[in-house]
Amino acid sequence: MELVADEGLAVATRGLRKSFAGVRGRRVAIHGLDLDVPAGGVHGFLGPNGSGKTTTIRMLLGLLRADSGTMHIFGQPVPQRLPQVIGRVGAIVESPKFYPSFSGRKSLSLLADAIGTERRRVDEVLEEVGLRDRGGDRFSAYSLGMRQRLAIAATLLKSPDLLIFDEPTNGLDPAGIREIRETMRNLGTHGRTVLVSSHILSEIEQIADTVSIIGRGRVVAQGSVAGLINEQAGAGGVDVGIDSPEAAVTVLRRVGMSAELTADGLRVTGADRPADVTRALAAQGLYVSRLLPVRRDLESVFLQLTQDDQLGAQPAPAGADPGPPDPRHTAGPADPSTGEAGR
Amino acid sequence: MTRLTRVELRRIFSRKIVHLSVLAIVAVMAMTFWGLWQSVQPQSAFEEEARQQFEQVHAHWEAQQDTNEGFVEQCLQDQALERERSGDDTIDFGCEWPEPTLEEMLAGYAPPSMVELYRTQLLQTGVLVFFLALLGGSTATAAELAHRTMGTWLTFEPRRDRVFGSKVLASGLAALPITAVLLALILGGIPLLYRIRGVDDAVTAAQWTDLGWMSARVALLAVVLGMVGAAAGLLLRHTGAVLGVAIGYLLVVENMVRGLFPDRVRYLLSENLTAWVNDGTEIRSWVCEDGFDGQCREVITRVSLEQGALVLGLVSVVVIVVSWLAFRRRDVP
Repeated sequence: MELVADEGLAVATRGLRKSFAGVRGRRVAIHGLDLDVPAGGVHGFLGPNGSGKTTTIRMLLGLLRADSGTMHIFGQPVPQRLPQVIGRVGAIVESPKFYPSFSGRKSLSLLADAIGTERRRVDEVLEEVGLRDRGGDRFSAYSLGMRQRLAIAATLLKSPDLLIFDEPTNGLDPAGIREIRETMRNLGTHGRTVLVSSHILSEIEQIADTVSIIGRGRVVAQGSVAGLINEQAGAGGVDVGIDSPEAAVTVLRRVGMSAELTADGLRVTGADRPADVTRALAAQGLYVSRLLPVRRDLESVFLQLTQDDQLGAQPAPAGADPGPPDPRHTAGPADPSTGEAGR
Repeated sequence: MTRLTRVELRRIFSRKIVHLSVLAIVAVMAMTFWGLWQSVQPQSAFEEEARQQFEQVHAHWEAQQDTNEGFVEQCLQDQALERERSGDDTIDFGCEWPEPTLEEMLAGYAPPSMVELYRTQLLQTGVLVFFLALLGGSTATAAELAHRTMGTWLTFEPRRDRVFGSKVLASGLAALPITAVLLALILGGIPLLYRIRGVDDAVTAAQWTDLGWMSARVALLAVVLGMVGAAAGLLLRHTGAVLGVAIGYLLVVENMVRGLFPDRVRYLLSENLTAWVNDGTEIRSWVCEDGFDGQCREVITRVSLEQGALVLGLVSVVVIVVSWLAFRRRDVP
């Protein structure tokens, strides 16, 4: 397996595999995962529930042991050199976990002491996340949003270069969701790398610069969000408004395009450019009144890519060959530092 | 690791369960001293109490003499008949209630020896301390797994050896101040009690030395058990599981060994713990020949302080090392 030690990548994994013992044998959760997270910006880690996002993050943080494969954070192999790089990483895995009877300030001050950070940093980060006035309250009395903000404050104690958020908006009300998304977006625009796992497509589309889509423990696509959407745009086609749609369908099919009648016209796919549609119709004396490219969004891309994976990771026999990484879909620059196209 | 250990100590002493345990210890100590107050009293106070009891009993005896005359006569007749029938003149139906005397009431009392009281209390307090150290240690670490805060902790300090070492060491060290306070209460409270109660007794310099060593051994074992508790908490992941194993061992294994393998009793943890605290102990057991008609004889086995240290030390090391190896490899929830 290729050794990845590229400082331009905040996170890189190769051939990562993890299985869990169960009553019906071992269940393979991660199946030869190759993940690249470029340094800087927000990277979405998108996948259906049970696809292996949290497992991957926990392995990166040394909480789970990988069966095989390699992982690197800022070019350092982990978990071997995790102690050397952990100071640059702040992470919230699943829901925030602190002692229920301790106050937010107490929990943070213990963590600050553990890493040798000055105590005054505690109030600074509490201020940063808007919890300074509630810092003395017990953690168990916090709302979900406050807990999430406290967890973010904890990650900021280290002034990290890489922030990992695992499903950060789960259970939050709309105001809380918006707040957390803004926080992540802000963190990502200040030179830090933010890795956000989520199964909420709109969330990733709103905040992420790049994205990796995971299904059944494998990366099925990764690259820039815009690149992935554009790559699939051709398949989206154009909607055409015209006075005689039946005749138009016949004409377009004759020149090799796919055309289907819709409620207010027809949808054409298989055209390299929308202009090809107007040209073919005009040549037969048919003139379009409306021509709209069908807009693809991340949701449609995601659903298309993971249509077989919506049920999440499936049981697989132990020792089964995970096979090579799925090269089906890559788009856009995956590594801004090199300008290299996605893998 | 020193920094981590200090943080762990802060965390442990911030826990509500620790605060509640200290309150429970204060309550237990208050009850203990109340019991000691009852048992330690001067001869004069005891005599006054005995005299009052004698007067009550004697008055009752006098009242019985008039009402029970017929019963006593009948009883004596029955006794004579039985003696005649059996030919045994020693048969005594206890028909007569001899007149109680003040001397009988006063007999057998002397204020407890201070050094003996010390030894008894140090052992009893030691058992309480040992239980609390084991419980406190296990809950300190198992709660982290139950609340899943261990994962958060490891994202700040991923070096598991250091994390394990700091948590186990801190759990042991946390037992020290609590044990020291308890021992100070015992060592300082008993002479004070004797003085307030006006009972004359003293402890010689040599006895003080012995008591000092005994206290030190109690404190050291409390530290070790705090560490063992923390290691067991990480290994078994739940305080209830640790207590279940400990109680199961005491109730099942120890009783089974005592019943089935009396010659192996010397290896039981409770006996070795007593030997460690008391500078050796003697185990009295009955060993019988095969079959019901066999002769039984009492066998006294001495367990030395050194053996107690060896057995307890070995078990502690095994628990800690197994837990450490498991913690290094295990997935953390």
